[in-house]
Amino acid sequence: MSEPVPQRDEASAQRVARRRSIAIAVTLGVMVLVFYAATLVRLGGAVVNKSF
Amino acid sequence: MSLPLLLTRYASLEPGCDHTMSVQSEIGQADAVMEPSIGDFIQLMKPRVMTLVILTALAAMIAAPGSIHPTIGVIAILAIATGAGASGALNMWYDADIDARMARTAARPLPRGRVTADEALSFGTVLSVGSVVTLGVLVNWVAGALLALTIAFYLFVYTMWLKRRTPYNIVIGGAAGAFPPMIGWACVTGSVGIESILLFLIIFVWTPPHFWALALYRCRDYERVGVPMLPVVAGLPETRRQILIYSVVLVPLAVLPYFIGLGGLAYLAFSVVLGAGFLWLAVKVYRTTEGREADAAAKQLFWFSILYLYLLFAVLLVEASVMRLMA
Repeated sequence: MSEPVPQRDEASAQRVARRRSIAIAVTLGVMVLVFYAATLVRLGGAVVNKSF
Repeated sequence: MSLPLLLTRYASLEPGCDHTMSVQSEIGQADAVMEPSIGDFIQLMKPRVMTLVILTALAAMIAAPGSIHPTIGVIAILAIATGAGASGALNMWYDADIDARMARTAARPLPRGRVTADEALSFGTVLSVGSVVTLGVLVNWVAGALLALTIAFYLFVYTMWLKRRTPYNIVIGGAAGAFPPMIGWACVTGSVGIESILLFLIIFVWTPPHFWALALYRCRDYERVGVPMLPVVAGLPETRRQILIYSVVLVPLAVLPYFIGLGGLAYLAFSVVLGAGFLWLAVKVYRTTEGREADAAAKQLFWFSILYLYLLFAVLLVEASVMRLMA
């Protein structure tokens, strides 16, 4: 028989889930900024010269 | 017994493979999971290993021919560091069972019940995918592919396959730690040059004497958890001999960057002087076979080997930076 997996109590699990959600949001925000900055660097001035 | 007290007691035990204390029996497995802090997740990423990864990748980036925009360069280093941290987290996820029973690793977040196995696995997986995609899309896909190879090699080849099966786990698995300069080089050049392969080889050959020096005075730890490190399987004399052989190969190899134009005179001087120190300590380990002096010699070589690699790549980095500024 396998050993029982240790668990957090409900209040603790909720606090951990909330902190995880905040961490994911912050990470996604940083990713957006990184990709935005890299796009500007890669395209440079040409970003405004695109013809439609 | 508290962990610091336990570790203090462990450090005062008899040297070599003679002591038989079970760390697991005194710490016990965590029976409740605590709330993790940011520090626990940083610890999952093996920050000290990350600093070496950053240094070696950055040195190769600066020394590589060509140029990279500073913003892209910073993104590349962040992605490489994140990928290294991710592989560290995945390694801790897989090795949690043996980490709990080794004094050196018993304080890691999983054995202490700060982070669950699922959290470590998710954290490592998300960071792995994120770092590879970021490096591939924003820098180039040669670098991205090399980072993916590094993470996969460390997790599947070293951690899952070799570590618990062969005494040469470190010899082959050491390739994972040797890839960062190749990734840094590829970030700038988009390819893998002979120079970056040489930097890879230096770390590759450095890894066995570095880890075997540690294993010499931690061999009971490895034996207890069933990891067939060389001292456990082949014995201490053979390990000392192998350390000396690898050191003799490493030192001239580490001088070669000067002769292919990768390093300058400062690199040549440092690599020769540091190499002499490395060889002297390796010979000392080979000759000192009894008692606490033998453990002390192995510890000296272990810590010097870290300093050795840091300094080699730091000199390469500084010298290449100066040459770029003067060009």
